[in-house]
Amino acid sequence: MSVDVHEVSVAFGGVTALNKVSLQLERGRILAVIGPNGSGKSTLFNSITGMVAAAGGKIAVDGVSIDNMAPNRRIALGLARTFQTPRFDPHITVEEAVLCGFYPVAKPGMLSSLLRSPGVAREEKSFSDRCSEILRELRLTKYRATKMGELPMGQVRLVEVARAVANNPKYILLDEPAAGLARDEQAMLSVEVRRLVEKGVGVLLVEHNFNLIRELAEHVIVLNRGAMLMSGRAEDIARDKAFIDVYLGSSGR
Amino acid sequence: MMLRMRDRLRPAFILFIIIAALTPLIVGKPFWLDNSILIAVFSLMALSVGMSYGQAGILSVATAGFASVGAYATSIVTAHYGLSPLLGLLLAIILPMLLGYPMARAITRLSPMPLSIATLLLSMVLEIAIREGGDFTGGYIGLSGIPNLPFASSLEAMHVLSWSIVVVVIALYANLTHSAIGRAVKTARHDPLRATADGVDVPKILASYFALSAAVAGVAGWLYAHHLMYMGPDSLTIHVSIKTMLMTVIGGAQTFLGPVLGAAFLTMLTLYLPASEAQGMIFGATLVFVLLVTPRGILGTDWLKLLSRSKKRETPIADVTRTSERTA
Amino acid sequence: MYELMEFVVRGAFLGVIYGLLAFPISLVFATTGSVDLAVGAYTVLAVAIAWAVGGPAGIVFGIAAAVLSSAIVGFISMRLNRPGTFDHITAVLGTFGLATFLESFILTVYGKDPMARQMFDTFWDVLGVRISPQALINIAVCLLLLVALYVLLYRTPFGRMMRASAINPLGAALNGIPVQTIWFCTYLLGGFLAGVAGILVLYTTGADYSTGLQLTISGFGAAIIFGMNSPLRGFAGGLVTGLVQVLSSAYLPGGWVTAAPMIFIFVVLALGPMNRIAATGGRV
Repeated sequence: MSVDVHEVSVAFGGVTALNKVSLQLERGRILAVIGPNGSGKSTLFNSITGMVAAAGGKIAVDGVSIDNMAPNRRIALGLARTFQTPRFDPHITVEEAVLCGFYPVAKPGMLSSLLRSPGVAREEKSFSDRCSEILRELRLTKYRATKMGELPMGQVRLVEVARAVANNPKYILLDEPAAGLARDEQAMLSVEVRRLVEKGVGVLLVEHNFNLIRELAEHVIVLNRGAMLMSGRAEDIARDKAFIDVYLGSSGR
Repeated sequence: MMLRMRDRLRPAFILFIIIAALTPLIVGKPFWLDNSILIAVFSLMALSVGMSYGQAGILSVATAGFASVGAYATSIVTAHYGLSPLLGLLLAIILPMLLGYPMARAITRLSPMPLSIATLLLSMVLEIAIREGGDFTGGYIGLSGIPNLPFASSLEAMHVLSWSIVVVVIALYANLTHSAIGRAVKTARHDPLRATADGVDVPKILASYFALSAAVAGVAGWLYAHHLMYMGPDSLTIHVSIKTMLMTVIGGAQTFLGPVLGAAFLTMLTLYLPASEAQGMIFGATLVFVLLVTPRGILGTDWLKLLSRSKKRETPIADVTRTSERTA
Repeated sequence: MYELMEFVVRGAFLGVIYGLLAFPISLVFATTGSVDLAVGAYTVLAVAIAWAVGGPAGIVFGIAAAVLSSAIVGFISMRLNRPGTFDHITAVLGTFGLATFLESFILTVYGKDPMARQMFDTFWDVLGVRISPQALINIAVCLLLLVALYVLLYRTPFGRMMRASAINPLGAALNGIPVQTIWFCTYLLGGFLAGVAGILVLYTTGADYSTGLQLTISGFGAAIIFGMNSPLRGFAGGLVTGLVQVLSSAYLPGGWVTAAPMIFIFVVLALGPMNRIAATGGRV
């Protein structure tokens, strides 16, 4: 049970953003992707979720090929993602934003929603309860009724994560979730990521914060200029000279 | 802290109380009853705009077009074939949906812009089709002799019926807005990519809302035909669509009672306006003015915030960072 | 055979005008992301003023009126399109409101009658096809403007700034390009082109107060057929649109004449490239 990315390439105009990248994201594991800016990390995410068309290669989720699937259907299969720059409507409340995350598992159609059938009422209640639970886990309960536009950036990023985990996805793609977070918020994020993994969710993590990666990730992939430079365990990578040159520069320690 | 039923249905309830209070005052006064029914009809059309534009972000000029489909459907069925107006009502709901949904699906991708242009095309083609319809649609002359509703033959009864329909539509609309689908379309309007990442099929949900708004407009047309008992090619034109849009924008496109307020306001205003040629100038200018000053409409603007901000005149630091984040 | 040739020529005659209107529509869309639905209204305003004043002075005043109204629309659109309410639809609605205003204005001042003029009484006979010298003027003017636009866009610094603002407004702004000013100038350019188109329309088919919307749609159709990327494509699209219109007026009964080009544009919309909103690449 995994997300299998096999030699995926993506090109924009004449620029190769991703060059035959392969990876396997297993359930209950954390896979980190690191690399300098422009190395193709976000493009990798976009190609897995289908927001960008792959020029070559194959992607499968739990054995099901998703190469020609529309993005929203891929999400419905159990993928979730966050955005590097959080995308949100500043006028809605935190609660509403998180509730949006439940859409893939909302079953009733338009007619039932118009009439507020018992099924819809039941579902809304269950969403509301689960929403309370997630907010509590991420210490966001006191911001429940706050408008997103009034929230500090750190909290905004946590809401972004909450929205992604709301519907209990099988795999979650986190794009730099810790950027701009204070120490204690980062710690909370770590705890949340660990909790997800214990529940059996596969986490694909893009991060610049190497300490966080060393703490969380079992397996790390390094991208450079759209191609995979190396992969392995965090400690091994940190010691590899090629990696230090490319990514950390001479000040890397 | 989920919205409870009484919060959700409050707008419908408020409208019910207002109408209930006003009804005894206008019983037996044909002028006011007539206008009340017209306001109800335009409220429905404005609510249609609220659904397509306010919720889904689809700028549709076809509101009057869909209304005329509903109006002509029931007129033809009752006046030509002598069948029940309830059949007319059924057609008034279904035909606009059958027209609107495929059209929207064919044209919309992530942005509703092409669909907006298409609604302009649709309106113009509909107007031509009506004019060229010969005896079937009454052509240039129009259809007269449309019977009134047997279960609402007096003006008072029509007034009660029309407003009951408006209240029910608002209740259903509120239910939909406070559901997963309602939240999804709100996200899709603001940011289709975010909605896609939430698992929303954006073109499909936009098309569904478009079809729904078309059905509501159709019902408005049904009421209109059975009230006026005449339908002509100039009854529900693009200009009526523009007026309806203005009503919704003035009242508050994303609110439930805004469209009703706008409909009431504009209908009463039209009574006191000069010749029809210059009306376009007044409506066009007013639309632009409202968009500039209170784009969220009377009921949609946070007046306290607006007034307090104009007093303070300081730029919070948060605003500066926010504009820089708002890329593409 | 000659009949077909005549249709092609008449189609081109009309089509170059639509090609002129296609440019402002595609430029405004590419630059600001919203559509200026008032383009046809500027055209009809130019027609009305040029018709009322008459002669060369009329031409100048007509174009000036079109530019003035586009300046107003541009100014208002800028205010509606500000970051904070990044709502393109609101800006489009604004242009629509102004188009309605202009249409009603023309109706009130000039009435419902069509306005047309003929500059030439004679017709030339080219290979058995009757062409008015007006046709030559239309085509010459349009080609001239096409070349001028090409030069402006690809050979001047201003054109470079325009293209930069279209591709990446934020990047352009960060590089010191006055994006808001450029956007405003785009509307002005649209007004100018629409004004010229109006003069040509006056001397070709004439117009009445209600033609504005049809012209906007035709211009829009011309813009999207071959893609919004360059004025040349819009020009070609215009020729096609003009041809469709002429053919439908020849072969279709009465009222359906105006409907056919619209259905054609509808089909183009459904199939067309405007729909393929590319998903974002790179940083999201």
